[in-house]
Amino acid sequence: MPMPLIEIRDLRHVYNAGTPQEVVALDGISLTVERGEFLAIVGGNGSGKSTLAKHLNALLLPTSGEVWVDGLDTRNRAAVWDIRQRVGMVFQNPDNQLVATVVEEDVAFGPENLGVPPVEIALRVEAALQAVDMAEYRRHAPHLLSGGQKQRVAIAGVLAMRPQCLVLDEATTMLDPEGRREVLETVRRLNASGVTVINITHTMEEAALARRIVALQGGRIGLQGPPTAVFAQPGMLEGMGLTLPVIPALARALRQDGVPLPDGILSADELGTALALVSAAPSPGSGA
Amino acid sequence: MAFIDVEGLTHVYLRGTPMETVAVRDVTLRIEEGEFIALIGPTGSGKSTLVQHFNALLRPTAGAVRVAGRDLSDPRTDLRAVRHLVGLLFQYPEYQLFEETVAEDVAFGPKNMGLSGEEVHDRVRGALEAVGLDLDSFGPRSPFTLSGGEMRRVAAAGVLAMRPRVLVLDEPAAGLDPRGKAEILGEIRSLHGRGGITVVLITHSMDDAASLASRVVVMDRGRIVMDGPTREVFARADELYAIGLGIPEVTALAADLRTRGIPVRPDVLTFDEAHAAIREALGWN
Repeated sequence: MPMPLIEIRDLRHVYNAGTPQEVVALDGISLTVERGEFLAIVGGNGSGKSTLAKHLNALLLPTSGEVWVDGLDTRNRAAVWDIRQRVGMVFQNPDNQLVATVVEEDVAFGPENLGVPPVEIALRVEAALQAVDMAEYRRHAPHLLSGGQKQRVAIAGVLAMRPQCLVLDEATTMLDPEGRREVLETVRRLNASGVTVINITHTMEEAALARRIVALQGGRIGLQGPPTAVFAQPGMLEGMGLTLPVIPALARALRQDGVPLPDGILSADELGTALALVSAAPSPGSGA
Repeated sequence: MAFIDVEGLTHVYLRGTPMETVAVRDVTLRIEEGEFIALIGPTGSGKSTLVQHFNALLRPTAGAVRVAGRDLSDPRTDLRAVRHLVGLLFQYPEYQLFEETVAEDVAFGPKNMGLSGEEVHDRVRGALEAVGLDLDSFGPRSPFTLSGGEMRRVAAAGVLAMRPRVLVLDEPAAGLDPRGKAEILGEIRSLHGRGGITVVLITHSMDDAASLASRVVVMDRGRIVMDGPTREVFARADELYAIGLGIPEVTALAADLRTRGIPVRPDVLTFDEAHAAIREALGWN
């Protein structure tokens, strides 16, 4: 069996250890991420999501426990740059992540720092901008782009490192509806082409797009599984400060009314198909 | 006369430089007391620039703004008094909390208004109550020990303690988890429901705009391109998508169900309305 891309063993992270401000942010997380996965990590504010994310590319190191990325131990200082090349992160605020005055220079920044030869950099920048559908903006100034375009340039900057894994930490929170659609579509396409995606979010509609959801509570994994399984536990989600997305919640409410809908409805399309079947069938009490 | 009366407002940033940007272009808008307005538009459409004219944080390049009958361009107008009438809560206001305790933070505004200690205390208690926080348990705490949703509500209380007649909120729920978001939006809804305050909510969430506001104003590239009752605005799905916005998820679902031959009312805006409309269309009552 191939080695998983990320292996986390009993990870604990304590901020300000030994002081009155001590906070246990992660309290025994064990998690394996397979290559090519599309994983969503959800949880309320303060559940440990962002702390966990920062362990995935050695921005933070475990207080105890281990994080392995592609066979590299994040505690091994000599491996830090290899790890950051493999796992790239995109953060919430699009205005804090772009450093250059021209889009293509911004995307080239990472591979330049890796010491990639210039010809190879040009190829990578072009491919990365194509992948996020921003090639026609290569000579534009980043600060004049829309929020969604800025986040796509930030993603291109990560892709130019040829990473195996893209981690999004609340990357759509500050975007308008079109910006959010653009980023989510880009991420879906990248995952389809083989990039592992970990989306940290508290928008449950976004989590529904992943193939597996890991829900954190108080620094531990409270619930995990495919979206259909996680959304089948609305009471547990609520206890974690989370909610069902609108469509599964609507399907659930209708099911409770006695409308014969199948379990596991996630999308509006699935709900529409199921309701069309119900609508075509004779209604109860019609005597048919 | 409208409480806020914006007439032919244009705002140009960095005029006369190569970076010149027209952020707001010939906007006319009248806001009556007691309204709950959602202001929506893509990033850079001019929403934040527009609302900063409501209490003279920005001055018009052209046009006029009147608040409670006072012309904000008139040098005789007391802008401090206007700023007490129109409270602005910016994005991520928790970064603006700075005092050692919640009570001191909320008291900052009323103290600066020169109110008596007793009056300040009453206002702090009232403002915290208005956002669902109890002075006795939250007042002595450090703002930095609070959850994200609680910090956001303390920041809102700081604005409310000035007793504004209009509350302008720029993305008050951004970055909050579902529980924190439900808390702050619930408090805003009930605050408005108690009467006496006008709310202008800037949001990227079509669902929040639909479930809270009775009127929606849509901006695109510095102009107001739609302005009307919430149901009428969200009936214009194609135009909204064309400028990078959208419609509430349940409204889109209703449209989809109609194309499948299920006669659901097309103008549903909220979860409860969609639930009822689907039951009705299925004859499931």
